[in-house]
Amino acid sequence: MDCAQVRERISEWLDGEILPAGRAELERHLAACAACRAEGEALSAVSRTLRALPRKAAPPGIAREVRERLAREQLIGPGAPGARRRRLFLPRWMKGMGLAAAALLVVVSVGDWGGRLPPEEDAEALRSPSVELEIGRVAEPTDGEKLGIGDAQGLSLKDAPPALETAEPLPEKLDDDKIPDGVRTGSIDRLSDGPQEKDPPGSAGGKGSLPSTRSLEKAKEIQEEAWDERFEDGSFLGKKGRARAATSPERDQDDPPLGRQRTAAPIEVCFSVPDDGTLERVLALARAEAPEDKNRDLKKDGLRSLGYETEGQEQPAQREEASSLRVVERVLTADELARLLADLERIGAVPDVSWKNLASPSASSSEKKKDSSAPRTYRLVFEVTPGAGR
Amino acid sequence: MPAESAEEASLVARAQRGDVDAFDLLVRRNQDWLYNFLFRLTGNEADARDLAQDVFLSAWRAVGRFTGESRFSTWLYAIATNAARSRGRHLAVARRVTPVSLDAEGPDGAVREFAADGGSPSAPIERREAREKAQEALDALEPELREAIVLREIEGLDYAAIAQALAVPLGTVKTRIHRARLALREKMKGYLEPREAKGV
Repeated sequence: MDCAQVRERISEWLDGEILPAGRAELERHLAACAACRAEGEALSAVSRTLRALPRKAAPPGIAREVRERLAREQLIGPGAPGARRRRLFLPRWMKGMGLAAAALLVVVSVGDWGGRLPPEEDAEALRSPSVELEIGRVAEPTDGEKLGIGDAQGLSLKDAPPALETAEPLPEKLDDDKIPDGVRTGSIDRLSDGPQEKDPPGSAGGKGSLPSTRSLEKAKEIQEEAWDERFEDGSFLGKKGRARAATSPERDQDDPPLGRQRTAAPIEVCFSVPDDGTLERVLALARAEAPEDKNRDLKKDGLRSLGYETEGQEQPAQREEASSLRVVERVLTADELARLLADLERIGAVPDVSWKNLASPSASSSEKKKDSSAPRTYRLVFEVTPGAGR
Repeated sequence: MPAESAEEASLVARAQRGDVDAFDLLVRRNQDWLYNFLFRLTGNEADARDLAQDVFLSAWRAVGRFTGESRFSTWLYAIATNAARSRGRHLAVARRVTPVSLDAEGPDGAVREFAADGGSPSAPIERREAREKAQEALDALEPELREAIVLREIEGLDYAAIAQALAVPLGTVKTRIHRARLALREKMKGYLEPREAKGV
């Protein structure tokens, strides 16, 4: 073990976390190397200094305030604790497509949240992670789920922490069974740049089928029936997204269709997040965590390496569908985004993230000058290694 | 790391059945360490207080889904870390100068001093400066490094528990802790505790 190796592992050693075999070798090195001993002493001094910081006791009243909030927010009583399982709404087809065997292209719209929620709820909503994300990889698709994965499972950590929930309960995940497939996927095509194709045979009714052609408004109507008041005004859609949905032809002019830029376009999901710096933090983390070898493999083999294309079970029409662009618009809180990224990482997603992936395709510079608070749209690409779920 | 007991497990089970009094006891048992953890993450007393409340509310909502495969405290650490992240406050703290109260009192109202290091008349001032420098250095760390090092050094979690709390692999924990120490060493030069390290 040379000096570099020793110094790399010296924190483990200080913490008693190094394996016995490595420990003996490292200690032999330390006994003989004054420079490494000095390094160890310096890091040990960091530990001592931090451990000597005074502990702060909770200010009085926290327990009482928690109790009062539980009562005020009606979290005490029949059915409490409010363990309704809250899930991020992701269309069933996207769960099926995206997470074990597809590439996920996430479009992140960052910007102004004002006006989408009642003013008094804005701050709370921004702080409220609001929904628990459950993304799953399902072992084997069943009939009718050739591109689908069916129910998500297995990816949520046992005892994974819940999203922080400080505001009113957000809606349950929209029950997929209550949504006609065409409607569920309609909002996707409405925002897409791809041709407005009719439903390929057999695709509209199948679980996990790819998007068909229906209106965003229709999808919204259905969603409003199932979602609670916060979302009844369509606030789950970003302002920008609604504008884009309403003016999709204009978007075609300003924004080269992403689907045509890629030989096999991944799914594109449009998210809005508060512009509070969390996105930058998450992206920085994603970059730091991305395994280099997986990125290299994916770049080399492209989307052909992804399971859903190579299983060979889907029909040609469906394959064609898979190569066109789909967009789903969904507002995410910062915490939801963080959890999405964390869950993607957990299932082996390789975040192919860099600032160059982030573009602002839908707002011209002159528009930005006119309205500096206008939402900015960013594109964020995730690729998922097939079968890499843990 | 806070001690856990059969009594606490019993309280958790009762809370899972909707017993708010049991949950209230859980809050009281865990509030001090949770608040301290959040304070060290955010560098801000007001944020720590608000977040502590939010964490407990979130825990109440989700306690029915707590399976007991991790320690209850580890679960709370995870919620708290997510809470701090979601507000972006321990990102923002790195960009501002946060005056840290140096009259920090422990649970018993006493200030926990550094380990005895001599009787210099200037020692209290030096210790105060060292604490201030330490918190500033923590604040300036990248959030993921700060989370890991606070869980390790302030809360005393082992690597496995930190991995659970942060939902990252063990190797990531090792890397983050080491990187945090290296960064802190640079930021805290001249303020580090001088005592001899064991075995080094």
